[in-house]
Parts: sequence; C-alpha cells; structure tokens
Amino acid sequence: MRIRWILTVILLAVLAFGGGYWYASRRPRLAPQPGPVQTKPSVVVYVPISEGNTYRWEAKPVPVNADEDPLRIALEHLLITRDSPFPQGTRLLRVKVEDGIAEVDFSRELVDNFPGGSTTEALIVESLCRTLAQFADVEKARILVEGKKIDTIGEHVDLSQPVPVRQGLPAN
Amino acid sequence: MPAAWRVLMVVFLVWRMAGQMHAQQTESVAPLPTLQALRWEESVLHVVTSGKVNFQTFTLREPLRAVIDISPCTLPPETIQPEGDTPTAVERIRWAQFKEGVVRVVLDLREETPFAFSTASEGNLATLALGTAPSPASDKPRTASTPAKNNPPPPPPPADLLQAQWLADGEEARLQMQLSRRVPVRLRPLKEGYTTILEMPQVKPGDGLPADWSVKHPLIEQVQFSGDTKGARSALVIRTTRAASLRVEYDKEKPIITLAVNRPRNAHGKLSEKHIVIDPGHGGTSKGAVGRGADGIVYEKDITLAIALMVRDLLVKEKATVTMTREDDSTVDLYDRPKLANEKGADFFISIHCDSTPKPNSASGTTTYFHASDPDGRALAQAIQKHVSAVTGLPNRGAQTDTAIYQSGFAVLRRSEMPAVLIEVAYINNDTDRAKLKDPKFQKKVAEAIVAGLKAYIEGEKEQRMAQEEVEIRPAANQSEDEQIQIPEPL
Ligand SMILES: [Zn+2]
Repeated sequence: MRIRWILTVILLAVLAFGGGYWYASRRPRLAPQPGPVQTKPSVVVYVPISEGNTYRWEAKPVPVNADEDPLRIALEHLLITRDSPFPQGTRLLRVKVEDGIAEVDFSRELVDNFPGGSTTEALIVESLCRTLAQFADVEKARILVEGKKIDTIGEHVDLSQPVPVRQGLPAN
Repeated sequence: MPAAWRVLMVVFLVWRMAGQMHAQQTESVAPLPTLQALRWEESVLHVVTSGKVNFQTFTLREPLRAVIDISPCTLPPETIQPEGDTPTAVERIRWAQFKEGVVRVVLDLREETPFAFSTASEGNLATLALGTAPSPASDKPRTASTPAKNNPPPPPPPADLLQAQWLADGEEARLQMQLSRRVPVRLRPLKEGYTTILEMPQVKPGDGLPADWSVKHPLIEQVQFSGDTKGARSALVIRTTRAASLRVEYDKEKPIITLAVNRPRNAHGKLSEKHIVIDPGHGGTSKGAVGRGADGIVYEKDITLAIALMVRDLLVKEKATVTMTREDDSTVDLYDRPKLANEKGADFFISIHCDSTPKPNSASGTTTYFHASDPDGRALAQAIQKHVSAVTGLPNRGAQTDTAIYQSGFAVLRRSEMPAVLIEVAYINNDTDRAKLKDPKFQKKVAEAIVAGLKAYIEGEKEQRMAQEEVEIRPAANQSEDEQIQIPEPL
C-alpha cells in the first residue's frame, strides 16, 4: 500500500515537472537573435490637403500583402482614403499597364457624382498621377469609365490623350 | 484526505520548480527588447531591435517630422551611433525613451517627403523608405516583391549668374543673362497688376551684376533683382506699364537666358476691331458645379450664362464682334468650344466659370487661368484678373497657369489658337462667394470688369489711353503683404 502511494507521488512529480517545463518553454522568448528578415512592401497614395490658397500633397503609406497587386491596392485605397478628392462611390473596375500606359477603369460614379469645379477636377487627376508615378513601369495614364475612354471628367481638364504621370518643370 | 492534499502540493511545487528551472536556463529576468541599431542605406532607414516589438509611424508638422514609436522597448546602456550617411532630405535623426516602454525615433525632415514604412515578420526590424514623387528610380515597386524605395537624386550644383544686360531691339526689350551652366527658370505672375517674377531657383548671383537693373523702355516700369548667394537662388521682378508678353529664350549652345518683353498678340488697334469668343462654362445636361445652401440650389451653368450674356451686350455696345459658344441652356461639347473660336479665326477666347473645391467653404476668391506658360495668355489673364479682382470684393488669387495643379491644363485653353483665358469668378461652394455670384448687380460688375480688362490688354490702361502716345509712369503701388517679393524655393 505504502509503496503504491510512493510510486503514485513519484509518477505525479515526474508528470508535473515535465508539464511545468513544457509550459514554461511555450512562453515567448523575449530576446531572439535578429535573423534574416522578410520585409513587407508598401505603397503610397497622395491626397491634397487644403492650405490657404494652395494645396499640399500628403503621402499616405499603405501596406501590401505578398499575394496582392500593389498598383491595385494603391488605387483602391486612393478612392476611399480620408481627403480623397475622388467623387463619392467611385470604384476601381480594372487597371492594366501596357507600354508604359496605365489604363485605369473607374465606375460611372467618377462622372455621375463629380461635384464640379476645375479645382476639384484637377485635384482628382493630379492625385491619380502622383500615386501612379511611384510605379516604375507607368509613364502615362488613361482614364476610362465603365470600359470607355473619356475626354474629361468635369469639362475642364483635357484628358483626350494619355496624361504623363510625372511632374516636370513647365516649359517656358 | 490530508495525504491527498500533500500530494497535490508536492505536484504544484514541482511544477513551479520546473518552470523556474526553464527560465533560469534561458534568462534569469525577462528584459524589454532594446533599440539595437539605426542604419541608413541610401534613403532607407533600418530600425533594429533586440526582440519582437510594435512599430508605429506618423508625421508631425511645424517643423515637419517623421516619427517611429517602438514599444515595448528601452534604450540600451551603450550609446547608439546611426550607421551610414543621413540622406539630404533628413536634417537629423534623434531618438529617446519617450515614456516607459516606448522608444521614439524622430526624423527632422527638410521638406515634404513621402515615405513608405514596413516591418519584418519577426517584429524586430522596421524599414522606413524616404522618397520623392518625381523620381526616375527604376527600383520602384511594380511587383509584390519590392518595397517602395525612391532615392531622391542629389541636388545639382547651382549655376552662377555672371552677367546681365539690357539690349534695345526695336519694340522689344531684351534682358540677356549669362550663366555658368544651363538651368531651368520659370515666369510666374504676381497678384499686383502687371508684375511678373522670373524665378531662378538654382542660380547664385555673381560679382559682375549691375547695381541697377532698370531700363528705359515704354513697356517697362520697374525691374528689381534679388539674389541669395548662400541659398543659391535668385529672382527678378518685372513690372510692366501695360499687359505685356514675357518670354524666356534659352540659347541652344551657350548657357545664356534671354528675357524678351513685347507687346502681346492682338494688342494693337482698338477693341471695336476685334472678334471675341465668349464661352459660358457648361450648359444643358452639364450643370457644372452645384452650390447648396440654406438659400437653395444654384448651378454653375446658370451663373456663367448670366455673366456671359452681360459681357456680350457690353462688347456689342463697344462695337466689337462677338461669338457665343452658347446663348441659352443648351449642351455644348467641351472640345467644340475652342474649335469654334479657331474656325472663326477669333482674336480672343474668354471662358467664364465658377469654381468648387472638395470641401465647402475651404476656398474663396477670383482666379484667371492661362494655358501653361503661354506669354500672351498670361498677359491677357493678368489684365482681366487685375480688373475683375478689383470689383469682386473677394480674395485676389491671381492670374495662374492652368498647370498650377495639374500639368496638362484645361482643354479650352490648350486648344485655342488665340490668346485665351478661363475666369473662375468665385467659389460656388463657399457661402460668401455664392451669395455674390447669385446677385445680378455683382454679375454686372464682373461683366464690366472683364470688358475693361480686355480693353486694357488691347488699348492700354485708361490713363494711358488718355495720355495717348505718351507713356505715363505711375508710382509703384503699395505691395500687399503676400505680394512681398520672395526668393523662390528650389524647384
Ligand atoms: Zn466649370
């Protein structure tokens, strides 16, 4: 009887030791050695911030997962981010890059919900161009609505030809 | 029962002992991760910590700073030395124990610099990539494998302005400037009357420059040079006696820039001899911008038509020839408007609009746009803006290039072959501006000012017309505060 007791206690003690050691080893180690790192890419979207008589361009970083298209993520984010100049409800339908031209196809809200004003229109086009300019293979942009080329969004800015996305010093 | 209790107690103690033994084996006390390294690789900052932490990044303004908060984290006992060269966009990098468990890294930025931020999956490394929008860098992201890494190109060395002299060339006034190398310069109208600034952001004034830049010429009233040797930037402010065309010519071979001042296109003769196309913005199914307030809804297309019809009547009274792109609420294609003016061979194209911004009441005032850097369009915009802004009682936003925000410009200005302007009379989504826009008396004043501005462009200002052939030199008007000449920032 006594031997059975002792054996039980020893067995439990062994189990407890093992369990305790295992439990402690499960807790995160707090000082690992920095090893090789995998960085997550991120993209930037540009939105205008009204400042007195002019606009300042704010760059907002957006994280991108490994399985996502950074160009699509940037454009989708640009449409919904705070201070986006794009009309309410505008959705990105399709985007493809061919021969340096990004064809960006938006839903019809881009034109239908456009609130008017040459300033608003210019800010929309400029925020798109600045955001596209970070992609090495994009030189120009063409805006489409529901698959069709458009000449203008709000009857001010000339969009009849693909527009260069990079800013330069206006020629004299 | 007591025996069972004793057994349970032993089990518990052994459990704890085992846990402590594990801890002793790995680390006696669990410390917070420390900041280990700050390393620059060109424009990318790597922040390395000794363990898994959370990184948070944001910007602070005035002065402009990029901030990275690291938690839980402490500073190590030894001092950290940032490795690599700090990029030019960053004035300095600082770090401190911001509060218990939080280390803050601050980058003092010299200018608005976008950055992309990413963290490693291990949680012990973060990268902050500084970039600039117009970077030709080929390592920009396209595929999902590379982070944004736009290396700003190093600023080019400034050019020296060696010599400057005026050359009389008949009707034209020419200022020839010799530089040590070719650099781009830019002409921009200032708000005050016929004042234009030649911005030379990469130009350092040399020793051989004249003390007095003025010249005796019927078109030129005042010339003022300001140069900053240390900051390597210069500017020339030219006030003309009337609307004048200013043009920059770059010599094809030598680093010589010539500023040519002329009477602009179609600025001879009388208003009565001219053909003007008036373009009321939008119309029909295109309502333009919409103004909403307690006072109801108002459409841009209705206000532009009302003002345009008044302009037409005033021009007809002046015996000028007028063509309207629309005279009622009909729909007119955007591209047909300049086409009509080109087909008619008109002398001027004047488009009338009301502006609107993404946020109501965020902007107020009058702007006259010209295309890109067209010297005649700029002169016409200056003349019309001078007269219209004088009667609106709203902020004078100046004559501006239509590439001010977006570089392709406005369709009607880009496609018109004659001097052309687009007037944004006021903001329809601003309560103060809208109340005025709806007022027929205000509309009339604006219409009269448009005609007065056009007449001044063609025939000179009223006082000049009265003095006939003699060019009257007016004293320089007091410059308002925001008109003080500023040496431009580098482009
Ligand atoms: Zn408009």
